[in-house]
This record gives sequence, structure tokens and C-alpha cells, in this order.
Amino acid sequence: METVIPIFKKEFRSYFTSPIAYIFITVFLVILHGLLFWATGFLVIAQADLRDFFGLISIMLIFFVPAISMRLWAEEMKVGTMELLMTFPVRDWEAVAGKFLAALAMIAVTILLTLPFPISVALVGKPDAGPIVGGYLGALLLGAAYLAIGSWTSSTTSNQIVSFIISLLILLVGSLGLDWVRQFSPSQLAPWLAYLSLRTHFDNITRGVIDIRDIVYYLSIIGFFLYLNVRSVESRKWR
Amino acid sequence: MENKKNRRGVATGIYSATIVLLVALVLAAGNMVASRILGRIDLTRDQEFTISKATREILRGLDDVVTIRVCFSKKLPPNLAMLRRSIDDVLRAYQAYSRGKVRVEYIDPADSPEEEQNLRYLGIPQVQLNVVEKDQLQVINGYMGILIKYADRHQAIPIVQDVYTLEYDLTAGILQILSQEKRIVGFLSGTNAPELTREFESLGQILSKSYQIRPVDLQQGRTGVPPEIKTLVVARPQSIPERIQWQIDQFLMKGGRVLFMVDAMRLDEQIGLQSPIPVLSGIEEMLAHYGVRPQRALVQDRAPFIENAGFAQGFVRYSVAYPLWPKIPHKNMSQGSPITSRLEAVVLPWTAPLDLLVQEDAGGASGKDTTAAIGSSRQPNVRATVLARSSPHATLQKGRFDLTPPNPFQQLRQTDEGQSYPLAVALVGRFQSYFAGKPVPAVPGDTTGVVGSGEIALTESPETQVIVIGNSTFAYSNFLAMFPGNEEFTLNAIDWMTLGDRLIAIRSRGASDRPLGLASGGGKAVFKYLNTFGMALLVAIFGVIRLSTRRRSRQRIATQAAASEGK
Repeated sequence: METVIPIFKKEFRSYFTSPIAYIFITVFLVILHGLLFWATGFLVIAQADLRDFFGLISIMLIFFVPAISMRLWAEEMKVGTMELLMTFPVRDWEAVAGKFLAALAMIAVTILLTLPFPISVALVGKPDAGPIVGGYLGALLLGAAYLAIGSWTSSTTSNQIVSFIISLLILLVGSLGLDWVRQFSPSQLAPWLAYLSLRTHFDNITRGVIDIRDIVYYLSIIGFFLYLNVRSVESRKWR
Repeated sequence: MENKKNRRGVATGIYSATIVLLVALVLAAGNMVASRILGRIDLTRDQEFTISKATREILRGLDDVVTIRVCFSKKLPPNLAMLRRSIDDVLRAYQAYSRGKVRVEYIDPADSPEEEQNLRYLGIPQVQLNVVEKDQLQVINGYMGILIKYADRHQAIPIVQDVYTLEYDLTAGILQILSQEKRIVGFLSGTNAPELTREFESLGQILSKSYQIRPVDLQQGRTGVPPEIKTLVVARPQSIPERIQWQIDQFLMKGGRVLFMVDAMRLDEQIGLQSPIPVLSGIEEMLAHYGVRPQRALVQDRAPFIENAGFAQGFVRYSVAYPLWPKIPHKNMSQGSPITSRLEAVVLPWTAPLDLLVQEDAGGASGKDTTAAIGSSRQPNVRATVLARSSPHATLQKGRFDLTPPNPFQQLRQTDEGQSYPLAVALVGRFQSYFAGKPVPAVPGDTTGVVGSGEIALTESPETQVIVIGNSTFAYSNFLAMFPGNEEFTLNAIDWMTLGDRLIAIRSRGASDRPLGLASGGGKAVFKYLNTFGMALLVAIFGVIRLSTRRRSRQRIATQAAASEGK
């Protein structure tokens, strides 16, 4: 466990010692608010209701998380530092956890930097705090689930672009795709597809209800893909 | 050698796949277990997704089994898949809190033709639903109702489309079924009052979900208000004769509750807004005696305390903020009354201001009062709560009313003059009769003197409730549809008077109008651009400073290193 923290620190610091994090966060904030004001008509509806805001965050994470996760392992493999990392006295799961947590912290910082918006809404309106807390928790869990998937795909290839595209496809299918297919699926299948969809659980949490089922679902997705990630890193040794 | 390596590779692959599969199965099982546990925290301010205390108490008080039968078709449009889960959540909470007294059954009526027929008879209709199947839009017949059964009685919720009102519907249904008789709300009709059709059709339909609605035609005072009626609605009264006033007064003296919705003017449908007809309700003096006098005036407010209204001028249709449609936000409604405490906004179109003539209770709507709350010698045991009041900038139209909308191309003159007027008032207490010390009014046209002979006039009521609102337009079908807050307000008022406080805590949770206080275009632009670029700019500036500082320090170290090497 004590090796997770140094890996986390090193990885997290690396985001902020290059322009990556700043560009990423700036672009994320501008696009998010731009879409909110110019596409959803937030000020036309003029309600202190942040569902559209969190809905947009959930969609933007589909595109932004693979951009973060693509370099997690693919870069190590391409540059050749993977072998070096494997020679360190670090267990595979510790390396996976350290990198995952650092990227998650980066996503959390990005999400938390959107806080001025709900605060400004609270200054001119009377929003319900519950769905806002739920929205942030949901966004963090959704981001973590997306990241676990992205981290795994990154460990399966040495090409960052390939990793990005595969992650993006999986996330698009796992969230928007399943929601879309559900509209046309047989009635018996619909509840299962709804349960599997990454966004359905997010929608539940953003209502302001923290349900054990939604938490267990996200932890399962995160746990499963991080496990696959560990297996994938492990397999590098006997390949 | 190569073969052996291959075999080992295949074996490892199979082993890995098996382990991965096992992990997936364990996680799936964990999800299955979690789906059976009722564990959730509701963070919403009004506990929107939690069973209320009122329901919990009613459920704990059950002494026999209540069966809730969910009659949902298995084949439903996929967009309703989540509705099943939400309904299930609510019902599981009902089961848990009732300690086994609530039994939940799920049935698909389509499985049995007899069941289908039976349900239709019990009030659960078949509904038509759109389903896409094999790339084709199909219309199917299905069921989405809930039946509550207790002993040999039943109560139906015909269609459940969302869960926002489900708890109210279920609990109201259980309350109705537990009480032997359905509570009856009377609606004053006949020659001097409207019928429950046309403008009030929706109101009648909404109320009939919870109450038995009965038109009360007092036939010029020949018959009294039936004793089984708990609450009487007097909507849009016009020139009410003295004898009917006496009947209403005596109904109140017997402990009946009355909701007065009194208009200052009436619109002629043919002429429209051009010439409103002033209305004399005939009960102004009686209401003043009880503690509230509706003025013969209309309240006009200013933005943002007014609602937009649509108008047509020739072929041009336009929408404009209409000063005669005051919009009462949450802060201008009583926080202490269960009728309004959780409402977000109510729109009272063409409403008359009310003069308060009795002591105002603490907890009424905040704001400057126009009429000093005075203790009335006529009603010493009555207290008033101002449920809704205008903004402090309201002015009055008196005399000839001018309802024409403001020119949409002209900026409305915003003055800080004006004052706040009470627009809806609740009175609680023991009322003194308006007819105390007066002779009982004779029945018009009765020359025999037989009708009404032997009547004993009551002079004081037991503890009861009266609500006075300065217009009836807010409860017209189109206004109830346009402004959800109006429906909530009306229902809360009737519930408060008829059922007591118990159901109101559940009802108001659907209200969710949370307007942003950004009236001017300039304010909106600042809000928009500051949010879009403010934080992003700060991050960018921070990044530039941090990276350049870092570069400089690295350059310094490199220079120092080069210098020390040079030495």
C-alpha cells in the first residue's frame, strides 16, 4: 500500500507540471458552460434547476475521460518505461491503483472547479442543495467508472489514439447507446438494459437520492475494470 | 518445446478467463443482493423521495391488512421501465413502515380476462400505449393502475404516470378507504353561482380524486347546506341574496368550512378584455364581518412579481409581462401555513386586494401590511393568516377597470411606489354569526311563511376555518393547467379544511418552480459570461504563471549547474 501513494503523487504532479491539466480544465469549463447557456437555454428556462448542468457533465466526461486515461498505460508501453516500472518492487495492483487514483483526482479537480456555477445559481435563485450534492457525487462515481474502463483499454494497447477510440466507443455504447437501444428493445429486456446503462444510475443519484444499488453498481464497474486492468498489466510479463 | 509453450499459454488463458468470469459473477451477485436492500439517503430539501412522517403514522396505525395491487402490464414502453422501479421503491417503504399490514401484489391484468373485466369495473381502465416493436410503432393496450383494497372496500388510482404524486395518491386512498364515508365537498351552484363545468371542470375533476363533489343549490334559501358536507366552495358569487347568505352563515356556525373565491369583475366572453363587468358578490359585508373585506379593485404588480400573458392583436400574437397577473413567489406566501409553506409560486390573475379586519397570526406572509392588523370586536376569537400577498410595489386599479395589456415594445414603468396587499387569507377560530341579533331573512317568494319556520339561528361557531381569495380565475381550468402551483394551492386549501394537516405535507412535494432572480438582460449577460469564462480564465492564468515559474527555476538550476561545472 505504501507504494500506491508515491505513484499517485508522481502521476498527479505530472499532470500539473505540463500544460495538459490546465488546457484540459479550461477547455472543459468553457465547453460545459457554453453548451449550457447556448444549447440548453438555461437562462431562457430561468429555473434554479441543475439537472441539465449535470446531464452535460455526464456527456462531456464520455469524451474527456478517455483523453485522460489513454496515456495511463499506453504511453508507458510506447516509451518503453513499462518494463522499467515492472522491475520496481511494486505490485501490479499498486501500480494500477496509484495511476487510477491520480487520474481520478485530476477528474475530481476538474469537476470541483465547476462549483462556482451552482454557487452563482444559489446567489440568484433557490436551488435544492440535495440534487447538487448528489450531482457531484454522481459525476465523481461516473467519472471513476469511465476512468476504470479507460484505464483498462489503455493497458491493452501501446497506441494512445487506439486506446482513446476504444474507450470512447465503449463509453458511448455503455451510456448513450444502451439508453437509445432501450427505446426499441423488447419490454422484458428494457429493465436489464436500464440497469446496465452507466447513465441511468447517474440520473438516479442526481435526483438527490443516494441509493445503495447505484453505489454498488458503480463500485462493481470500477472494481471489475480495475481487476481487468491488473490482469492485463500482469499478462505483459508472460507475453 | 514450442508446443509445450503454446499449451501453457492456452491453459493460462483459460485460467484467466475463468477467473475474470468468476469475478464478474460475484459482482453481479453483489448487485442482485443490493437490489433487494432498501438502503437510501434522500438529500432533497423536501425529502421528495422519502415517505413522509404523515404516511408513516397512518401506516403504523393500520389495524388490519391493506392490499395494494399493482396492475401493470408486463409489456410496457421501455421508457416506463424505470417507473416500475420507482413505484416498487415507494411500495417497499410502505410495506416496511406498516410492519406487514400493507401487502403488495403485482399482477398483469392481461393474464386473465376475468381480472381485466373486474378491474375495469373497479375503476382501472385500459390505456393505449405506443411501443416500438420490430421497427414499427405499435399501439398496444395496457394497464398502469393501482388498486387499494381493505376489507370489502376498494380505492383505485386509475393511471400512475410518475411517482411525484404517488405517495399522496396512495395515502389519500388508504385514508379514504379506512374512513367509512367519502368526505364530501360542496360547490355552491345554482342561479347566483357557477356550475362545476366549463371554467371549473378541471377543478371538479381534480377534487373528485379525493372527495365526493356535490353541487349545492340552495334554491334561493329554501334548502340548507346538507349536513354531510364538510367544506363548501363559494366560487365567483354574484348578488347572493340575503337568505342564501344566511344559509352559508349557518353552515359556518355549525362548524362547516368555507372557501370563498370572490371576484371584483367578470369578463364577457364576447367582448373579452375590452369591457370588464364589475361584480358585486353580495357577501362583502358578511366577509367583512368574518374578518376580511375584498375591495372593489384590481391589484397590479411589477416585474418580477407578475406573470407573462399571451395576447392577439390582429394576426399578431405576442406575450408580455402582464401587471394584472400577479405572481406570488414563495417568500410572499405564508411560511407557517401548511397550505403555502412549500409552494414555490402561485399566479392570481385579476385579483382583488383584501382588507384584513382581524388580528393577524404570527407566521403569515412576510412584508409590509397595508391594513394594520386590528383586533376586531366583532370576531374576538378569530385569527387571520395572510396566505399570499403582493409585492410591496403593487398599485390598485379602481373605478373603471382597464385590462388592456401594456405595449410589448415599451418598457414598463417601474416605480418603487405602491404597497403590499393581502390576496388570500385564512381565518381560524370561533366565528360570531353575521346574523346574530338580526331577524332570520325570509325566503323570497314564500308568502306562506312555512319555509324556514321553526329555524333556530346559531350565533357562534365551534373552532372552524374560512379562506378568502380575491378572485376565482386562478382556479379556472386553463390557469390550473398553466400554473401547477395554482393546482397545488387549491388542493392544499381544500385538504387543509377537509382532511386536516395530514395530507398536505405529502401534497406539496411536487411543486418545483424555482425561478432565477435575473430579470434584466444585463444581469443575464454578466451571469452567462462570468460563468463561462471566469473560472476557465483563472485556471489558464494560474497555469501560465505556474509553468513559467517552473521553467525559470529550471533554467536557473541549469545555469547554476553549468556555472559550477565551469568552475
